[in-house]
Amino acid sequence: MDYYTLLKFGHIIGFTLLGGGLLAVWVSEFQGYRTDDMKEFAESSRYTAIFYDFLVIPGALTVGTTGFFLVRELGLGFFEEPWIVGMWGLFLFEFVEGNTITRIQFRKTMRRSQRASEKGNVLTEEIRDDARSLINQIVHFLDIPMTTVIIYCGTVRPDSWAHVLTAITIALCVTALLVIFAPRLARRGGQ
Amino acid sequence: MLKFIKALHVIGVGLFFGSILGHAVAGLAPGIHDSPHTRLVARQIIDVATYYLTLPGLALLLLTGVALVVKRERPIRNLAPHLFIAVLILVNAIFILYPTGQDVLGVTRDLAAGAQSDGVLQALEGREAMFGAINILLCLLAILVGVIKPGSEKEQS
Repeated sequence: MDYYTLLKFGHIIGFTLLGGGLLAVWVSEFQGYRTDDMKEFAESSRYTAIFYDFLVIPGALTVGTTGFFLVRELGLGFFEEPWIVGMWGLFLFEFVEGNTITRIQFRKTMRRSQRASEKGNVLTEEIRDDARSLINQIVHFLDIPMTTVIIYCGTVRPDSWAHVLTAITIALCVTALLVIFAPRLARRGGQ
Repeated sequence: MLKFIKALHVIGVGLFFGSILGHAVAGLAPGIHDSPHTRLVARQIIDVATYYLTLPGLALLLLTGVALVVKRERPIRNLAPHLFIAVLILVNAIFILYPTGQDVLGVTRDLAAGAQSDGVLQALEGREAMFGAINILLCLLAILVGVIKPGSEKEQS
């Protein structure tokens, strides 16, 4: 296996870890929204943290490293094509956002839900709101649409900024819809 | 058109293989054996992920895989081994892993409801771990075969 193939293989494995981790986080959070059981609510937030630490972070580091060396190996240049700028720009944004705002938010969710669970509290809307704030929901629901735009940039390779910006706009709209409807749908499904 | 099918194929890889990795992490999470309730939450997450991610991902992979073969003008290198591995993954997932996962969920629910453990769960989890590991290896192999294109230029890749 040559150097380029090895990098490409690593890039796909990294993407799989990252994508799988984000999807697993999505599912565990969905379970958290859906349940009426306090222990299950606290456990879901713990699983969110586990998926971040064991899948998302290793995946992001692998994707970032192999992506950097792939661009260098192919001699593409980091600023010459809109799709490459879209890929690393969004990745960097997600990486920084994921390790700052998102990390603080899901740690807070885990702490508060576990504290409530240890006290033997019944799961109320106040506890839900306290554990998962609006900013928590926005950063959580932003992950999958943005990752989809990164995949779009990497596979379709749009050669104009208009296409990349349109994809980002669509992703932001999808995020807004998810923030509004996903928790409600999950609650309805759980009842 | 071909690029969009390829993009969907990559999304299928993320959904299917990514969710399998998620199952593995959920099944090996710290403290999972501490209480039947903790184990039940993990199994519920795995069950939801199977319905909404793994199985749709597998369907997407198969459909886009067929579309890629049909739409491409040039023959795809390494297609035969890639297809062979895909069939093995499909058979393992549909006929072994999916039914075993359902059985594990059922037994875990019983345990969380207060039933006594009689070793059935350990046997089922052992089978799931073995065939799950085989599927992960097969997925890695399928990706490797898909990535290695002998004789092709970097630019074509």
